[in-house]
Formats: sequence, C-alpha cells, structure tokens
Amino acid sequence: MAEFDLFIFFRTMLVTFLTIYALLVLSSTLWRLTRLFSGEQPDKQILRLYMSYQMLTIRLEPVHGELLQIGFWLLILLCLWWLHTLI
Amino acid sequence: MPQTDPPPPTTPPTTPDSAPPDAGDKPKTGKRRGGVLGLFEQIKAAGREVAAAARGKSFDQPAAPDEAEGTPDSSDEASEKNDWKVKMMHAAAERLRGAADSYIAAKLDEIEARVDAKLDHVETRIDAKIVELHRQLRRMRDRELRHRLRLLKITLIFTVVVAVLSLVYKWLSDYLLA
Repeated sequence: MAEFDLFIFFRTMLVTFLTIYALLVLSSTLWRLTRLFSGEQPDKQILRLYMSYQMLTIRLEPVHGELLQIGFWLLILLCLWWLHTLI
Repeated sequence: MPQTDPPPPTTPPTTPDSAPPDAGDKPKTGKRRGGVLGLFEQIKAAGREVAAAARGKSFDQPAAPDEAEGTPDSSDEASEKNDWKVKMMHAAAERLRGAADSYIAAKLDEIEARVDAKLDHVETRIDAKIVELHRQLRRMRDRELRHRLRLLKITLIFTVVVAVLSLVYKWLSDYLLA
C-alpha cells in the first residue's frame, strides 16, 4: 500500500474541487447565454447581430498588459511542470 | 406785483383753422369704410337677388314699384346693372378664393418646413444618443474583459504558487529520503 502523503492529498482535492467548480460555473454560464440568445424574435436577432459586432470589434490594445502578464505566468507554470518531471 | 406770463401750452389749441395732422386721413378712411360697406351692401343686394332668382322671380322683381312705372329702357338698364353686379361678385369671389388658396399653400409650406426641421432635430438627437450608448457599451465591454482577464491572472498566480509548493515539497521529500 502506498504511503499516505498529506500534501499530495491536499493537491489532489484542490484540483478536483476547483475543476468541478469551474465546470459548473462554465456550464451554467453557457446555458444562460444560450437561453438569452436563442429565439427567432426580432429583438433576439438584433441582440445576436449586435453581440457579433461587439465580438468582432474587440481590440487588444486596452488589455494587452493583462495578456502579457497571463502569458508570463503561463510560461512560469509550464517551466514548473517541466521541473516536476525532472525531480 | 409783476405779472408772470402763463406757461405756453404744451399742446397747441385746436382751432377751426388748424386741422389735426390726421385730418386728411379721415375722409380717406371714411371713404374706404364707405367703399367696403358699399361693397358689402352690393354683395348683400346681389345675394338677395340671386335668392329671389332661385325662388323663381326675376332679378328686377324686387323693384316692383319701379316696374309699374318703368319702361323697357329702364328694364334693360336694371338688367345690365344686375349683370354687372353678378360679374363683380364673381370676380371678387375668384380673387378671394385665389388669395385664400395662396395663403393656405404658404401656411402649409411653413408648417411642413417646421415639421421637417423638428424631425431633423429629433433625428439628430437620436443619432447622437445612439452613438453615445454605443461608446458607453464599448467602454463597459473593455472594462468587463479586463476584469475577467485579471481574475484569470490571479487564478494563474495561485496555481503557480501551488506548483512551486508542490515542487519544493517533492524536492525536499526526495532529498530527505535520499
């Protein structure tokens, strides 16, 4: 029988709970958005058209700082993952 | 005691010789009133005659006493006078109708221009409001996107912290076991 490791248990539980929580939030949000945008009424069509326009006209200039930081932290995370494989 | 002269009157006394400044207009006004009243009288008389003609009488029937005394010459004269009245009434009616039509057309043009100006003003205000709402929505969209990305970054930082802790723990456990 493998030795019980408290930290490994904590890490596994944390990943499990956070994954379930993220999936629940993501699915509920997607369901809400689907209900909001579905339908053949003229107002829904205009809403879909306007949201498409808003999504197509997104510019990265206002958020380029946040995107650079996210890229940096993702690189750090990948490096740590690689270090886990070495030890 | 010296006598002082009375102050000169501010308004000159009206004498029979000095006529008021608008004295010359009064006869004109009276003439005009008389002309207008005369026209009305003629129109009323012509209307009476037309009504009498509609009832089956001739135009010169109201002048019955004259007819009794009249001759064929006087009857022709009355008929010509009646024709002249009818023509004058017709001309006056046509002129009044033309003036009324032109007045109504001018007023309609004025109202149309006012309505067009008001509609243009309302349209301009609606366009400005739409542009303002669109700009506000774009700002809200960018702010919401930045907020979501910040939350994602914080989550990523905590993930990196946990990964560092895991790495240190793994290295220490391997080092201690070794």
